[in-house]
Amino acid sequence: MEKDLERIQDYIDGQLDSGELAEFENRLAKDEELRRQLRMQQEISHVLAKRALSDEDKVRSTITNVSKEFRRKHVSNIVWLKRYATVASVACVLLLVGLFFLNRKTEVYTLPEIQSEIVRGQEQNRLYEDAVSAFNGGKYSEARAKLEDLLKENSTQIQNQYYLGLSYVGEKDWEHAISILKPISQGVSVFRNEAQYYLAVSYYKNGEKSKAVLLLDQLCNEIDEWCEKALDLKKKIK
Amino acid sequence: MHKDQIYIQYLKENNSQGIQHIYNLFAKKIVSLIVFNSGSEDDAYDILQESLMDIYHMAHERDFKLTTSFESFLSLVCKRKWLNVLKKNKQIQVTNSEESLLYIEDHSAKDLEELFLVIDRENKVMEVLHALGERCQEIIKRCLVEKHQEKIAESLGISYAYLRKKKSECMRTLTERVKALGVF
Repeated sequence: MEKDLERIQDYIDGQLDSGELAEFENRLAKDEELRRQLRMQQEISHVLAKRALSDEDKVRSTITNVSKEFRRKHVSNIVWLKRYATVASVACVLLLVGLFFLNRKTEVYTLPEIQSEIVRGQEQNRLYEDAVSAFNGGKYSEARAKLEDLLKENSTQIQNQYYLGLSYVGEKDWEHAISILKPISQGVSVFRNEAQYYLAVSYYKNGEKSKAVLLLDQLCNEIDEWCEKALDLKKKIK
Repeated sequence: MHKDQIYIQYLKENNSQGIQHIYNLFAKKIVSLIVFNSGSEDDAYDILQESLMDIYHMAHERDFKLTTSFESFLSLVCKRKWLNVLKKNKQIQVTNSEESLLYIEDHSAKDLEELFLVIDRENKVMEVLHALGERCQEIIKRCLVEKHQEKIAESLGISYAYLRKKKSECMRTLTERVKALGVF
């Protein structure tokens, strides 16, 4: 077998003299296993040659450098993403629990509770905690006013933009909810999918059912955990 | 031709700015996808990098033409690669739901799957090559790329006969290992 592998490779490389070549080709004509082995080695040689002659190493080097630079620039965003993934997860759990106890005949959706940021009893932001308290108490107008004040301090804070959007949903101010939630649903933040879900709710409540259904279908084609929620809502609104 | 063919071209031409553009547009979504499906951030960037390399190789195979958005295509390649990792680590069982996860709105899905299999096969051969010693890798690559093996032998400080013998041994080892994987 060992000798055959070497002979096959010499045949592929054109290294056999005329006598050896004739003998080998004679064997090939009679030996199916030898032919199969030759085909395999030819395919392997073909792959190796293809890759060796490509610019694979240069392209890999470019991609590696681009990736390193991208990660270096976006490390703060990813850290933020991880930090608030917990908030989003808790919000999802609270939402599911809320859905379980809520009378579904009266409303197609429920709002989540906002996660407080108090850690070990140490309050970081009084205004934010007041907004949390108001929102979770169903006082959406009050929560909205406080979130608007927070956004005056930092207009780029997507977490507060998202909760502002939800406050409008709570107030049943669908047009404002849509204007706030739409860009978040199209962005890359951790709130993207939830924003898409509540945007669908807002479209439906605003009489734009086809837009709602389209968004819910998109949710189902993307992240699986949202598919079930989207299907459930879609059933209710159809 | 789909308007996103340009991204395939960037990879094919090793266009650094084009590849940066790809990362700026699509990397975050891919990273989120992997992280939300039991992966770490490092896993996500590795999968993205290897998927882009696969797309580079596909681009050179049969003059590949994109028929869906690059975002959908890249997501598909990444999902597929990540599913294979999870299966290999036995973190998931093979289920029918894979079909829906990997579905792409494209009438040439069968062609695409064949192309994926070709690239997977090639990647496995290259993995086996990279597991050989450095000397074997160097000899095999140089013998494939350069015409005059006598000059290769000279540059390596070995005789031509020794080079032939060494290459033969390396290829035999590689072939045996590839055969054992059941790749072909």
